[in-house]
Amino acid sequence: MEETLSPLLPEGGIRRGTAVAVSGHGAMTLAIALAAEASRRGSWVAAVGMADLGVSALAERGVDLERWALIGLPIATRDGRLTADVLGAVVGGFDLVLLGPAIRVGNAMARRLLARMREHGTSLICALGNEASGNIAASLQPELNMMIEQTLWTGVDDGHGRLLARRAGVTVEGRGAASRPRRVLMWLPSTEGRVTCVESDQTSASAFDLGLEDIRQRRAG
Amino acid sequence: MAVVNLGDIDTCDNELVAAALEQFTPLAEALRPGLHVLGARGPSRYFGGEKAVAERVVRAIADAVPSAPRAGVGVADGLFAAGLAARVAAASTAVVVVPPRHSQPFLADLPLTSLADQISPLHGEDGTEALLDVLWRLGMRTMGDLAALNEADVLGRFGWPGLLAHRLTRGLGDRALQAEATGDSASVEAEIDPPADRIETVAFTARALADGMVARLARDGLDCVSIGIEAESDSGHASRRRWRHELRFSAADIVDRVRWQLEGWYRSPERPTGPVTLIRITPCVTAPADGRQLGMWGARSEADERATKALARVQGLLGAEAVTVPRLDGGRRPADIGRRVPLFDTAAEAQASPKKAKKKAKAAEAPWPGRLPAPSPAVVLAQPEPITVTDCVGTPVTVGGRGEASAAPQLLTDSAGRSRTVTAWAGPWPLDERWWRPSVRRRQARFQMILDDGSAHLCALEAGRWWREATYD
Repeated sequence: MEETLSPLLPEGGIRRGTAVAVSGHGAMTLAIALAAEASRRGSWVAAVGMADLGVSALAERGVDLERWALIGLPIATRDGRLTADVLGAVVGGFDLVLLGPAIRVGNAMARRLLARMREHGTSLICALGNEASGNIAASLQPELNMMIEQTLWTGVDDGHGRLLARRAGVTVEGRGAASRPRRVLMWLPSTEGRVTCVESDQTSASAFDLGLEDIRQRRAG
Repeated sequence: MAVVNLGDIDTCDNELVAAALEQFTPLAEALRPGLHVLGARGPSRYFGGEKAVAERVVRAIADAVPSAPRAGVGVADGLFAAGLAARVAAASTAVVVVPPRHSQPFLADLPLTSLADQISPLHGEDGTEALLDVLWRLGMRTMGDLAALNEADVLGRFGWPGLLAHRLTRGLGDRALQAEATGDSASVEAEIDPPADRIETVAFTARALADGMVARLARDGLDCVSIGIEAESDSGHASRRRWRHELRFSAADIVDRVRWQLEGWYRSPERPTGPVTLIRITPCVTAPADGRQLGMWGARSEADERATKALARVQGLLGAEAVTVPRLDGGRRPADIGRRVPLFDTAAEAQASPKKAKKKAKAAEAPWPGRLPAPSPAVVLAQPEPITVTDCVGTPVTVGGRGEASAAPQLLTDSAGRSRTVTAWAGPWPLDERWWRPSVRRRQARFQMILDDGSAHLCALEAGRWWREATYD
């Protein structure tokens, strides 16, 4: 995994055969960034049920578009078995699978899916979006739960500038090595267009937090 | 599987032979004039053994076409072995039966050049000659020599043709084993009006039908191994025959079969008295395409193969359009810059017009004044969402002729009626595309808006209406 994202991942990467859940504003960007590294290393990535994924954003994260497949699930799919069949096929053929927020999977199905993921060594990233209903995430028992809790865009004022960069506070909860919730500050992305974790040493972290406070007060005032 | 080899016979006699063979099984298929295939399992149960069937076939042909050369019938597990057995049989005892699972020892003593025989799937393929040439220079003389090698080594050194050759020498590689029968729904037909009294006219119509059918099957990742050709005449006669191909039918192959069938039909005792009015082609048996002709994403590794298979399965479940691949293209709006190309299109695109694909790639890199700089939105709505944007007194925000907002946006209401306060915004950036053609002209004023929940959106005002086009999620 890319070094700049390693603070998010206690084991240095997404373990094969496990799931990671990402939620909050910016979940899509973070999910793409997590997948991009695997993609650059030559892994095949499938994005299922992400009908609105922005292709230029993929390219900006450095994704290898030649090894990225988009699979549209009909939105009105009440047929859980069809979803399960599709996911089963995808998990068998890809190293990394991204799931969109609209996908619903029952408990029994999730267990079968997990077994298949372990069998094929496939990792899953669930982008839960803003309504962290966590339906699929809960049943898939994600190894890591990344919740983007605070975000702040810079570069835009009242009628001036343009979106430049976004700062975000991410809480990472997990099992095993990462059972204690940790807070990671990130650029999502930075002005240079990179998704990186901010230095985790205490001083710069608090400076980042202060910066957040400062801007918020200015806006309120 | 039984193969009947009559050597070179004319299409008229061939029609009589085909009729005689249909008495044994309705699924008699012709590879070409003088070379026919029968499923041997059913008839052999009925007539008491494969040898008995084969002998009856020889007699039936001799009765039906006394002038025909002596038939050779070969029976084996696969088409390739059965075909070579029939060739041996024609030159000797009339019947050669290779016991089940004994194809490899039977083939082992035959010369390596048999791999280029008419009956071989490698016949006429690109690279077959070169492959056999190299194998010959490596000192291999019989198919047994090749079969003795390790499969993985052969694949690594010679690629796909080598693998197929290796499988053939071991009595494998017969595609019918994994083939699937298709229903009549896949058939294509054309009425010929005015009715055609010349075969070339029918062949011309058949060419268009065959092109469409083969392209459609290729799009679904299928090769056609066996087809049914039906022709009707205005005198009420009809001709139905099945044809098999050793590897897969191309459109030109199908047209050849149509020609052969009609020639035979018009010269047979049951010839129609009128011109042809209808031609119908049905793909009877299809097999998963092995992907050679797809060449989807460049080099094929094991991971490529796995992913391709999974995607084919998903296409089977959801329809071919459900699987797309992202492509960058020229344009100014996010939905134009990043396109989703259906999977089968990318294959066709790359194969049909490398020039066009290159042009597209160039368009993506060219500067597009008016394009918003990075970061790009991670969510681009396939269907922009209609919204309303109002100022602090509730009046809809508009953009004047000078490209300035009438007031600062204050409240954004989405299509579900939920409102959020706009905490920061930027714009408007005008976009005037294709102003030289009124029918496709687009004029937009674009805004970036940050809402009080921290989300950022790309909104556009077009012809007095507001749309949310993308979200910087």
